[in-house]
Amino acid sequence: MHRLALALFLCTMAVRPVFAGEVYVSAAASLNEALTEAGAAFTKATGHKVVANFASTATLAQQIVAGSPVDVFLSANEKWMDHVAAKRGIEPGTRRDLLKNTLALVAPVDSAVSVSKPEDIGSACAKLAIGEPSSVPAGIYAKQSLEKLGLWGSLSSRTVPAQDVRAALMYVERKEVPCGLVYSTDAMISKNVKTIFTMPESSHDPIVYPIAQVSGAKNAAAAKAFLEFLGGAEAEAIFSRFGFFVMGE
Amino acid sequence: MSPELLTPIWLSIKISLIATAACAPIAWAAAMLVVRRRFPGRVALDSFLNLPLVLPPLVTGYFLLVVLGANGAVGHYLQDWFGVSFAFTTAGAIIASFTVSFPLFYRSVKLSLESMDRRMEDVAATLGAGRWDVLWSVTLPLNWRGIVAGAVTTFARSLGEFGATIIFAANIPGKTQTIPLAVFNFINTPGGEAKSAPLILVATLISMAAMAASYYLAPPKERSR
Repeated sequence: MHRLALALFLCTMAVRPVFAGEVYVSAAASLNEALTEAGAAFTKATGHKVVANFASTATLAQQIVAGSPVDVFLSANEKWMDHVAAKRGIEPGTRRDLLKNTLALVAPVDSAVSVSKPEDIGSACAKLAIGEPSSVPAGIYAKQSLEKLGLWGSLSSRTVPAQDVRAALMYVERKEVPCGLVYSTDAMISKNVKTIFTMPESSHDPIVYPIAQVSGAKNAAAAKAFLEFLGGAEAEAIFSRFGFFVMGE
Repeated sequence: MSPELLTPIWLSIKISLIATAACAPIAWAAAMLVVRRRFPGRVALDSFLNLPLVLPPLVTGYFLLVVLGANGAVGHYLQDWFGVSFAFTTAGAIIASFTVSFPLFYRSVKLSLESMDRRMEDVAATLGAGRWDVLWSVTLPLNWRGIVAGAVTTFARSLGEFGATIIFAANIPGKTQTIPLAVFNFINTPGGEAKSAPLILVATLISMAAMAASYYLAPPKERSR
């Protein structure tokens, strides 16, 4: 029995690169598909494993502040990254804005609704699914945008505030509501919705995804390699395919 | 307290009371059916009625949306024939609370019915009591304790209901934003945890008051020596 165990142990040693580690990544739910693919490419290239945790940015930030073993945090907004930086700390020089997204007005794929300018939204959308506008990042951007365009006053009572951006998308997919405001990347993933209008970028704060290595990371070397990999050409190709705009260093 | 806090509290109480009141007759009838009658599919029905206890509330909420939503299997008829849609309404929040907490009421009544001495009913019938008389003066009084216990747990569970509500009824202030959903908003805002404290305190107090009320309505039995 012992000999068998030893043999198995040696086998695993033989296939693993010498310095392979695990990097614990907490990433915003909207990055699920793209980051899973980027993580697989990273493992293939370096041998380091990626243990990813996808949830709403708020949940992730609270887990990190509470001391959860997280090496890399990829947030869907700056405020929660600031919160983590203040309450737990991030490695100096590792924080940067990795990705950028835009806000899309979506409708079910067979919908006849058409919007060519922002003023059309009010007449085209009897109801509008958005992320909850005080706590969900996508909802905060949606409210900002509608306010800036002078539409919030007439539309706010017709909004359906959802638990997160993916729930808002689901309401549109299931045709519970005729329109929804979600990230362009969410709109791209779903086969059941189409983008009918892209909200002007000037109407809301830039939708950026800051990334940083969290203080006290157990797997600092792997974390550093991961941050480097995400800035490289291979990762950029993956993120672009999912509709994200990759920001320069 | 500000309306920001008072509105969810009032809404929570209203939704939980209505959901509990709606549960009472249906859970009681279902328990009577399963305990007293023998019919094919009885065990399957029993399992089905307990299902919301096992399913994650988010799944229950999604299921409600798929069935009762404006585009759902049953919901689109309601929409076409009556112009009624439950998703994203206070009625929807009540349905979500009802569905998730129903098994608690049902189980409590069922347990109480199973442990009841049915000879009492026979005695009453022998003494000339009609069916409804037996029900009102024997069955329900003997079943009272189970009904009260069921009502209290159902009310308390409704008060804490989150997952099914936020998916089926969404998070609409004044309409479907109950205490748990308002707390969820506060907790998901940087530095907002403190604001949720009064809501959590009130929810705790209401639950304790409900427990206390149940002691008055059905005092604990004196143990016979």
